[in-house]
Amino acid sequence: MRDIVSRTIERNIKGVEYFASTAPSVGLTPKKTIHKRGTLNLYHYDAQTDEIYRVPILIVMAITNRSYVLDIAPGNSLIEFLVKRGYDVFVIDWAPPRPEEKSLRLEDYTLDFIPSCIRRIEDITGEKDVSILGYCMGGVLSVIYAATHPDGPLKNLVCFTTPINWHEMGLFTAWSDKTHFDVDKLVDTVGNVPPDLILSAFDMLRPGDKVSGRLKLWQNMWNDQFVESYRKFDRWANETLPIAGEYFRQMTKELLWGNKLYESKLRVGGKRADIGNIKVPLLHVVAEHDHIIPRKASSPLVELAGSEDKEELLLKGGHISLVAGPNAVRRLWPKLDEWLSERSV
Amino acid sequence: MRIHRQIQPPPDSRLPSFLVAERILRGHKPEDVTIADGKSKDARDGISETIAMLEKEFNLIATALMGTEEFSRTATVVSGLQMRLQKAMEAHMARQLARLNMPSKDDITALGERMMSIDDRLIRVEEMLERIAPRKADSAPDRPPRTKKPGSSGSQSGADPQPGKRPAKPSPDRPK
Repeated sequence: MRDIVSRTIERNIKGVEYFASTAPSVGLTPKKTIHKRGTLNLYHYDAQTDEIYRVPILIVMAITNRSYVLDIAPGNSLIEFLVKRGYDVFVIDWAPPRPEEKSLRLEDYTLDFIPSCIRRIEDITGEKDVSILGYCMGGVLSVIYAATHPDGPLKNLVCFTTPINWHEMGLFTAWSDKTHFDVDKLVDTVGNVPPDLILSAFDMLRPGDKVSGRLKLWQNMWNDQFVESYRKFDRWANETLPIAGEYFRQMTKELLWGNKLYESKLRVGGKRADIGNIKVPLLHVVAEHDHIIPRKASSPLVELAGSEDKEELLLKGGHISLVAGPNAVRRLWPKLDEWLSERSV
Repeated sequence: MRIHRQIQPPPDSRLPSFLVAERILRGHKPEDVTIADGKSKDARDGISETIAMLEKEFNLIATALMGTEEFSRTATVVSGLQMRLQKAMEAHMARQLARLNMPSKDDITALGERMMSIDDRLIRVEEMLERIAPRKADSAPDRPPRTKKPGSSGSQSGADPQPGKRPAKPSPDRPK
């Protein structure tokens, strides 16, 4: 009982501090911005080992979210982990597209932005090979790049929770049904799709989470470590980015309605994005309790890829806890290191 | 093709935690509340589990409702209205700014587009120069050699994040 009373007092004191304090620091692993073009930022992380693997890694983030979820706090950062394991890490982080960037399309991301980053990496490292690691929609961009560039440069492809069969996207498929969802009207009205709309769609996938999350925060307000971690992830989730209008139109029509990536009918800049063209070693990591990308949507990647060396790894966890947080530290990171290390020499 | 599944078996089934919470609310001392499998249970754990259970139930009901065509249709109408309202506000704001002889959002966008086309031209010029005089690999003297092999430790500055050690932190999937 004494414990309950003392925690209640602490909760109230820290509750006041919570609202008065500034936003928590994130993305602290030392890095340099080496390439910048509108919405595109390419970071290069400082090496922290005496020797590094030959093949650099390029991490492609989803265009709706900031990359610091992979570098949320020292000791809880996939990027820091990879750097300290001896990888040369580069990250594509997307800034909010400006109104004039509403015309950006899949072609811009997969035939221009990613190749330009790879060229820059080659300039810096002198290496022709690169491993690409894509998370969620970043995985879709990486898959389209790999499918449209069968001759590379690409050494390995790693995807986390990447949707391929868009007719199995659950509520997203239902909400965007073409009988009532007029994507042209939306994009023509707003230009870039505002982040509020995207965030509320994500929230609606699990409408009870917001309230229960607040309750858990209140319950654990006495616990500094919990509060700090909560605030960091909360900041990340709320910093959802707008989506370039034309990209959103194309994604809705070609992927959600047409399911063209799954059916190998997607054409990007005149090139056919056939997943069968991917021949490099492929690792696809999916989460058992992913409420955003259902298993049925992500599982076809490994089946369709033309690679001989391909593997799907199903881990316990959700869409975000797969890559960040205590479960990721124990489950994903060691497995990723094991898979990448032998293919990065 | 290898498909690995690394899933732990489900936890042991236990007495529903809401009963634990319910007993506490009826005046039982938290330390006296014991669940069916014989393990003593902290009152706060019971409350947390009740919240989690209610959240799960609510999510199930709500997502079933939101998966209906009626919901999608209504949501589309509502978001369409919001967008039109936003557009009307922008138009109103543009008129006000024009009266004050200030640039509107459209003017700034047009300026941005011109900047972007200049940016694209610069990139093309840079690429042409690159072809004429290729850059040498930026081999900074402090960059370590690319000789690492799997299994070789390679000394590190700073502590290695320890996979396997579980920090006491909330699940990141939760606080959205």
